[in-house]
Amino acid sequence: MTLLARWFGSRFAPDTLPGRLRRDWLAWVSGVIILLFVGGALFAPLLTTRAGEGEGEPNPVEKLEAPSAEHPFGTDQLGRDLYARVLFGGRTALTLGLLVVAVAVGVGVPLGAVAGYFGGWVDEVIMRLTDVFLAFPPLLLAIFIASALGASLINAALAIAFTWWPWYTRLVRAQVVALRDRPFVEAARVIGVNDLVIIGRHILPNTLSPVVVQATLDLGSAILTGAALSFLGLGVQPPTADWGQMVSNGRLYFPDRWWYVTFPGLAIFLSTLAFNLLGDSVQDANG
Amino acid sequence: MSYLEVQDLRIAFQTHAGRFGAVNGIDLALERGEIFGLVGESGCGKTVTSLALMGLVPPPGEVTAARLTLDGIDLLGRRDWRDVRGRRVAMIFQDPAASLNPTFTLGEQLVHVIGHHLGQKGATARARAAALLVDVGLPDFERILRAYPHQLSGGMQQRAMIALALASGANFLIADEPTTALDVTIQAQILRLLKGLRDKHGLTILLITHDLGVVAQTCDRVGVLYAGTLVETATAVELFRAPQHPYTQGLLAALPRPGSRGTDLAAIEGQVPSGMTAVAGCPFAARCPQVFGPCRSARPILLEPVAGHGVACHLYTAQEAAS
Amino acid sequence: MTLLEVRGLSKAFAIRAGGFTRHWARVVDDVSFSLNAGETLGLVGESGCGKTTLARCILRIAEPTAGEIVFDGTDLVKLSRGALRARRSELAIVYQNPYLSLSPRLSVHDLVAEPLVTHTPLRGAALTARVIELLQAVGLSADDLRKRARQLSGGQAQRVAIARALALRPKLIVLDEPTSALDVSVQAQVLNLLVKLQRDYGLTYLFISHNLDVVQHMADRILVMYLGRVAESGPSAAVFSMPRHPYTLALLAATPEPDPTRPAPDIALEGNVPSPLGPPTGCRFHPRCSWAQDRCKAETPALRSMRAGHLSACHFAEALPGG
Repeated sequence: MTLLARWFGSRFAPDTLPGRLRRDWLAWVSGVIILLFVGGALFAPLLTTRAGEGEGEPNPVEKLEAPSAEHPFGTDQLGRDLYARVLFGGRTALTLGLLVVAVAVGVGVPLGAVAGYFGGWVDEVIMRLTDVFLAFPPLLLAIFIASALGASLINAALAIAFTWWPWYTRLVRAQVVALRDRPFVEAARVIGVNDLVIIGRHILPNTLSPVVVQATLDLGSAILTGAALSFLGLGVQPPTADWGQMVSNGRLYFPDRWWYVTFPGLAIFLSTLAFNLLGDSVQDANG
Repeated sequence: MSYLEVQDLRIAFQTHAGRFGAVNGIDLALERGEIFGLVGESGCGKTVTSLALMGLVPPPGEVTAARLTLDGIDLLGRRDWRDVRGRRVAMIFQDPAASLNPTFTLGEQLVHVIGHHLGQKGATARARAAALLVDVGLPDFERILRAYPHQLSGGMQQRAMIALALASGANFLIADEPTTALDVTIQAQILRLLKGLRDKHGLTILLITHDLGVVAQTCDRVGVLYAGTLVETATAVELFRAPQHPYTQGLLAALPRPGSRGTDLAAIEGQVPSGMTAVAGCPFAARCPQVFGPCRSARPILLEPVAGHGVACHLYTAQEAAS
Repeated sequence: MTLLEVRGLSKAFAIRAGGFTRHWARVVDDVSFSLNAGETLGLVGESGCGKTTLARCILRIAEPTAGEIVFDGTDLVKLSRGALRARRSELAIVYQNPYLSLSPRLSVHDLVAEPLVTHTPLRGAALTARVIELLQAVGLSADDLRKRARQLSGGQAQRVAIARALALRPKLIVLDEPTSALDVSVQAQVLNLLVKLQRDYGLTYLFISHNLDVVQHMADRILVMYLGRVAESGPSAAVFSMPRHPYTLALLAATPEPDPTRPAPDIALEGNVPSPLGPPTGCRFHPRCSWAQDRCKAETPALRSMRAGHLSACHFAEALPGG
């Protein structure tokens, strides 16, 4: 029956990944939300008349005002327009997310590929190293690193990536182990192709899909963890806008000035959810 | 009336890329107790034809036919296949390891099937299971009954699979490439077993294969499929002695044989049509060395220039008209 | 001129049996043969006979446990990694299934260019021109350059694999069941192509197959293996017309011929191939051999010369029928 399934699979399954994604409405919804956030972050100065306040200039005459036509999300304790702050906070969140994923992928994927391909003691050393990193509670380790390095966007990203790369190493290693004895890899070895070229050209491209899924899911989680670090004061420093920091400050005025926590909180919630949904859809479409 | 009657069987799949005709109107008639070989290359529709006889064509496949009966029972438009599958028709596949449940012993699987289809339990069922294993050439049944599938070799697994197929009392067996995954010496054993079961129990067997050698050694009659159409049907002896259709002739000529060394094999150039585009004329026209006028415009129908030897080719249509 | 001489080659795999006990599976056991430049050696045997492992040792993808592989004057076993890599351009392989042996994400251009990029300074337009030349040599065209393997038919994909093997004009090409996954009509095309390429470029083939008809069509000399040992070897004509080992006789008898009038095989081989973990004593074939005597259980038969270049590892080679 497997033969039959393959036969039908090749002929009848909607064969492209974009094709399958297009038929999935959740992928659509999450994609639109993500596009809104990315667009908002990229074009923040054009989407508000109060770009200065978004970047941190105080406006003491309009402190803690409720949402209105002038200030759709209200204002904070320094009178800054929260709509502008949320837009600019998106820049922080996305930068952090991308940094974390880039570092974790950049470190984790090559290590996993090397461990899986060469096996033996190389594999043993790399995998025991991942075990060590995975033994720490990630948020605690990130807090420790962030406080040791000093609070800044880049340090927060490094701190988070520090605890995340082992997942990519494990993911990629498992894929590479399954691929390294395939005939097409052996064929390349018979030709005399260099091991690193074999890894880069023949093996890694076939491990991309699960890595993309994991990276999409992680973008959401990185934003959430980044927000947690900022909430604790270990992330981006004021006056740069940051959702976690805004929730942290806003909770002092809750519930009377409900809007101060609500809109940044919603931004965290929606962006994290959207990345998770998109990641799931990509995974299903791959399956 | 024949044991199995198939008239104008058509199987099509509606896909994103269009309508794919897997089987485009084939007629078959099998007599009780015969081994009928359905031969053809990959994608010719032989497997999906056999699935239609069990109601197992996967969606979005649509099966239509003018007539589809087995032992007088209508198989067309049937919703409830329970008294057909297993009870009347059993099926074995290329890869027995994939068809046997790895988590149960063969004894458990056999006793379950016997209980389900024949209502026999306990010692009676176990005795029948043992008898079946002896029947399929596994005389040390005590060990086999307690064994899990992975503890058996490929040949023994296929024998066990045949026992399981017969356990329900079916007397029509569809064997889909049953020996393709096996070594030649084991293949010879399994083919001998199938012939023996036909002789002993009067089993009717539809043998699906791509291997002309297997057909010649095993089958009484043969149907040759090409791109979802039956191009030729005859007794095995006739088909190999005097193949009529250019495709059958081409297939036989393409085989390497003792003495063919040093000569070019007569390859059939080109490739099988995809089935996505409806061919107006003969599906083999594009590759046929003897193609002429009507081949590209009209679909040839199966005629019998010689009694019992059907061929769907315009070379013979013209002859028929002339005589 | 001898291109390849294999002497006493063995390959054993350690299998852990729990605790500190280890079993050694001798998958290839003391195999010797030689292959002349421009010839085709057919390597025949059923699954588990060690033919693929032997080929992998010759290509140095697997590390032999003992023995010498003298290729064009140098012992490949003794070469350092770097020296071996430089000589890889002289050896090539074509696998059974092109869809598995061609990287799924690379284009036809990149697949065929890979050996050239690895071993020659060719780049850019000159590289593409050479790739197109190679594609034309195997019957493909520049239109196929951008395609991926899965967009090609089985025969076309196998042609790409052949073009890739041909790219560096290797002295030896290992063909590991190159047509077993193809349809009969396409198999004929690919076999014809391989014969033509051998003639045009003076290639030497090590042709591995379980299909005796295909081997007979292709090979000058035959090596029959059973459970890691050489059972029989010699000129193709001699081995097929007068086999001097009971296993070769059984293989020939079990091969189904496309001729229904041929009587059913009388030399039926019972039982299964034993595991290389605990091979039978003496002659490894004795438990399945109908000529076996007490001597066969005790004494391992050596390869003995029957006639010019025809060797058999059977104590009773002279007494076999047909002699």
